[in-house]
Amino acid sequence: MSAALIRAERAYGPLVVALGGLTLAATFASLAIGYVHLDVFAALNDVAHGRASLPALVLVELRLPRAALGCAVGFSLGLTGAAMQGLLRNPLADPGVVGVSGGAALGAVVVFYSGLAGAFSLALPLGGVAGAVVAALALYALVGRGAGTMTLILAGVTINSFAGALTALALNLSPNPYAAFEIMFWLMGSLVDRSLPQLWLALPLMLAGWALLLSSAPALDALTLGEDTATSLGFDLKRLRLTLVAGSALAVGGAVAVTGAIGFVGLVVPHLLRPFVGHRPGRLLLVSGFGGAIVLLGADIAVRLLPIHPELRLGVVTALIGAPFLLSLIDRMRREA
Amino acid sequence: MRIEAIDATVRLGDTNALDRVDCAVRPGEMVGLIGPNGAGKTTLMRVLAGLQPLQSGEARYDGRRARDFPRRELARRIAFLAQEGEAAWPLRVDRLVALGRLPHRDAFFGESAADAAAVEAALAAADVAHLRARTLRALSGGERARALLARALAVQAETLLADEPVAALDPLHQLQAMALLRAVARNGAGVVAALHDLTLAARFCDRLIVLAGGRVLADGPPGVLTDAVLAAAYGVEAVRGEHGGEPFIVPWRASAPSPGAGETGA
Amino acid sequence: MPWSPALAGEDDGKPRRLVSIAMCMDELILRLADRDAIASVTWLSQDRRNANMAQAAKGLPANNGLAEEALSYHPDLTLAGSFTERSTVALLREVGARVVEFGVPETFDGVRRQIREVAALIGEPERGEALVADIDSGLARIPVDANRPPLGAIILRPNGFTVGPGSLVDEILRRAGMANLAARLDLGPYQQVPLERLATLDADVLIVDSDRFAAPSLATEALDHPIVAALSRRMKVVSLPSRLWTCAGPTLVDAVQTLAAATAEVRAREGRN
Repeated sequence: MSAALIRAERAYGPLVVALGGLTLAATFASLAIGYVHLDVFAALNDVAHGRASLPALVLVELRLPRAALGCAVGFSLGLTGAAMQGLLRNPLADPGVVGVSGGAALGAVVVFYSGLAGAFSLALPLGGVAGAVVAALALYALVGRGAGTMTLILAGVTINSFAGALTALALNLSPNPYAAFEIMFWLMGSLVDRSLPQLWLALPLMLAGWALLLSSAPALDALTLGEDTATSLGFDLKRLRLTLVAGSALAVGGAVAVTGAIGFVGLVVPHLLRPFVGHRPGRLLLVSGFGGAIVLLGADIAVRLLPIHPELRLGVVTALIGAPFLLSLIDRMRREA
Repeated sequence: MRIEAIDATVRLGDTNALDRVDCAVRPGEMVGLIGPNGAGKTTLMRVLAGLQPLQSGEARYDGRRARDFPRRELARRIAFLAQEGEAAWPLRVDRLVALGRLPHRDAFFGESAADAAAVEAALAAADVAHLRARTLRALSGGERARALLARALAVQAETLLADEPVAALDPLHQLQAMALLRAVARNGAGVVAALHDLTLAARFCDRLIVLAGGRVLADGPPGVLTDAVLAAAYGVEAVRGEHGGEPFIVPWRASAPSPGAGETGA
Repeated sequence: MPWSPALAGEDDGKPRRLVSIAMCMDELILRLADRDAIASVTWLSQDRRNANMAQAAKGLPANNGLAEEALSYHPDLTLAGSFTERSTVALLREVGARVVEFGVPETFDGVRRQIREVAALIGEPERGEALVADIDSGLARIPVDANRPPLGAIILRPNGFTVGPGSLVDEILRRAGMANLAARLDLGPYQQVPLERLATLDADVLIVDSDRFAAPSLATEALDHPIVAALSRRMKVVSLPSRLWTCAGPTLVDAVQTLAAATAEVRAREGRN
């Protein structure tokens, strides 16, 4: 085998390790940064010895869920973006752009404001998953097989508009006077004051989604050559689509149910990392997950350090970076076409 | 592996892309599939590859149906080269060719030595080894076609189904590719190639299947390509000859329209 | 049919068709006016969960605070609050309706003043005096220990809001032996506080707004964050519905009483240690 290929092959392992390490570092940084000065090591010490000091309390009940969710949700978004781009063979696919996050938010809103989540707490993330599934099926119905960019974006706009309108309607229909103002949380996302119970609700579903998505790596590689060739290489495309829809719905639905819809992470991260894995869609999955975690944690740290009150919504930060990025991507694709 | 299409009918839209077609390919033989555009060559290739649902009839593999095999086994034993090869992502040529090893590899383990060797052999055979680090987009049309052919060769399957593998190639590479396919057949594989070039088909193939309008007009050694068959299938007259014991057939002009029905046999 | 102010039928100068388009005004007129003098109150005062006079408000025509609705009752006096839509108030005045606005009092004195003013407006000055006397005697019954330094207290409202310094709440806390620690956080005009900062203030008392609605919202869910339960093991957590101290009225006494009891409890616990 050529020396260059061997080098490229060998670079993947270290890349994964490096990104994984950065993810851990970013998670730890998120634990250490907040609105009050906290000696993380002292707090960890307290926790280890079972002392319920104030720093330990703040660390476990406030910082830990925020950091862990930032990591997990970012991982979900990056991974799902890479998986969708692999399946649709289009670098513009992202759970936000194509409407899956919007659908998840609608599902979560219906479950939460109707009181169902109060009766049965797992209903909340499951509602998000259900909404994501419906949106994904709608997307597939609109876009079909191997559709062009134009169709994809139009379908995404349609689904997002519709889901957003229904979400606003659901919020307005709630008799709680605060509900109508909460649309910004659901459409822009936030990690503020999340709790451990929310983490335990979302995490199992996200883990299941990750497993499904990561397992599709070889199939996505084969799909590079088109559906016929991929089938001839032994892959069941119907099963692949099902796996990806289910995996995306679980990963994104669970995440959106507890943090709202945070966009653009799944768009930007795979695009940035693709050259580092030789453009191979299979390898892009795991590194995009880590990349997404790093980006989201970074954004969450930034909103806490910026002297803007009230705290900027995470979705605002990711949109400020992501929207211009999307524009430049579309422009480049137009010029290449 | 012996692959057969038995009484195969495929309906696309409101026409029969294939109409009760019977054909077979045996190991060790090279079959040329020829016919005009829209005759059903690609559809037949897809039927043989197990990719095309049939309205009636069936495809059989060593006498059994596709669903009687595990998916991966069929994938290892049949290689399919699609007509217009496109790669969605700008992979390096060697990584692209390595995709042909997917049916042999265990999903998450790395490539074995056998895989690496197969990739190298395929790159060399298709004369793209010197292009291994380039991406498809940086290649010419002919180089791209050879790279995709290398991918199909890397599968090292018992049967290779190639849909117009040489259409985009320059004369040198056309000859090399046809010789390569024939060598693959001589090594024991069954090869079916859809072709437009009649001379290449006549020189290199053991058998020709002539398709027109979804039906088989002729099936046999290259001699079946008579003037009558040519006129019926393509509507052309050809200039024939021989050089070094091998035939050449050069389409020369459109055949005269038949004055009445039934003059040209089919 | 154009509305005309001449329809007001005042025989003894007392308004006979009162309309309130603000919740605090609802409460005052429900306490001070004759029931048959009230033409309409807002729907908010009919919510049992969050209105002090819900029982009394039941059965009265409800309005949503809109100018059209208010006019449809042909009011001879309309009472509004400083948070009522400016355009609504302006519109009512334009057509010649008599609208009087009241803000939120910031001191107990302000409360007394407001009660007296409203009572005078609706022609029931004695009832106003009686209500003020009620409040004063209620407050007087609450013991004051001026020698002890006040307990540090912080308030948690939906959406993580707290109540800043310089409002009626400050006086309520002071009267109950507490001091509002919100002064320590440089809040500026925005009063949303991250839970982290709330927790690390190390207050003696955490006052949680316990007004709830039938339907959930993220804002009210924020009050159920696990850290509140965890904090209750380190400090006194008092559940206090905000409706008790939002409006001028005798419920202020209930608020002070609840908080004073909490102070006493904390002091007793400290005394034991």
